[in-house]
Amino acid sequence: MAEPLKITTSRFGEITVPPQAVITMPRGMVGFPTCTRFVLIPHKPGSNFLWLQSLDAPELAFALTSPAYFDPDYAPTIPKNYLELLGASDQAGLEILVVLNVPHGKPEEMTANFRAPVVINPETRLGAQVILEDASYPIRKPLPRSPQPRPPVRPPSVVASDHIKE
Amino acid sequence: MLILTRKVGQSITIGDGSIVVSVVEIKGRQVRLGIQAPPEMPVHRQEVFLKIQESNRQAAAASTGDLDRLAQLLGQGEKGSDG
Repeated sequence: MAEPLKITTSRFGEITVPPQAVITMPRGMVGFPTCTRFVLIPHKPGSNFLWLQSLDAPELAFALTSPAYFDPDYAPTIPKNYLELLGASDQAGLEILVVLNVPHGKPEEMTANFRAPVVINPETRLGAQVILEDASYPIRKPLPRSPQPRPPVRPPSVVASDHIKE
Repeated sequence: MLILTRKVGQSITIGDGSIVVSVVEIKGRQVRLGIQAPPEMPVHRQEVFLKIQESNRQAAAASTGDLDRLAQLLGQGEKGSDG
C-alpha cells in the first residue's frame, strides 16, 4: 500500500492523507489547472460545509456545500465529455457540490456557484469542476430570502473525515 | 494574433488537425461557430470561463473564520445546534 501523504496546509496545519482519500481532478479547478490532487475535509464535525483542500498547493482550498442548501431541486445535466473524464457511464451516483464564495467580513453576502459545480465520482475518485452550458444557472447564487427548511445535508460519500489526522 | 478570412462553410484546423473550427452561419453581427475537439480539450465561451475563474479566485481566499461566521449567521452553531 502506498504511503500516506503529509502536507502542511495554510488552514488546517499538517494533515495526513491516505492515498485512498485522494480525489484526482485531471483538469484541476477553473483557473488552477496545475493543482489536480485534492481531499475533502469537513469544516467541523456535523457542519454542512466542506473544504476541498489541494494537496499540491498548501494555501489552495475551496469551501463547498451541497446545492440542496440553496435549491433542493438543483439537478443539472452533466455533459457527456465530463462523464467520460470522471469514468462514469451515467450521472447516477455522482456527488454534486457547489463552491461557496464568502466575502471577507460579509458572510451574509455569501453566494454559491451553480454554473460550475464540483462533480465527483465516488467509485473512481475522479472529480471535475463542470462548466454548464445552461446560462440560467447563476455563477453567484445568493441564499434564498425565505430559505427552505434546511435539513442537515447528507454528507457526501467522498469525504475523508475518518482518514484525516490534523 | 493570426487573422484569417473565412467564408460560411469554411474551417480552420488547429494543431495536429484534431481541432477544427468552422464558420456555420453569419447573421448580422453574430457568427455561429462549430468546434470539433477531442473530449479532453474543453471548449468554453471565454467570458463565462473568465467569470468562473474570477469567482474561483475569490472563493479560494475564504478563511475558516469566514466559514465560522457564516455558520453562525445561518444558525448552524456547531456547538449549540438545535437540531
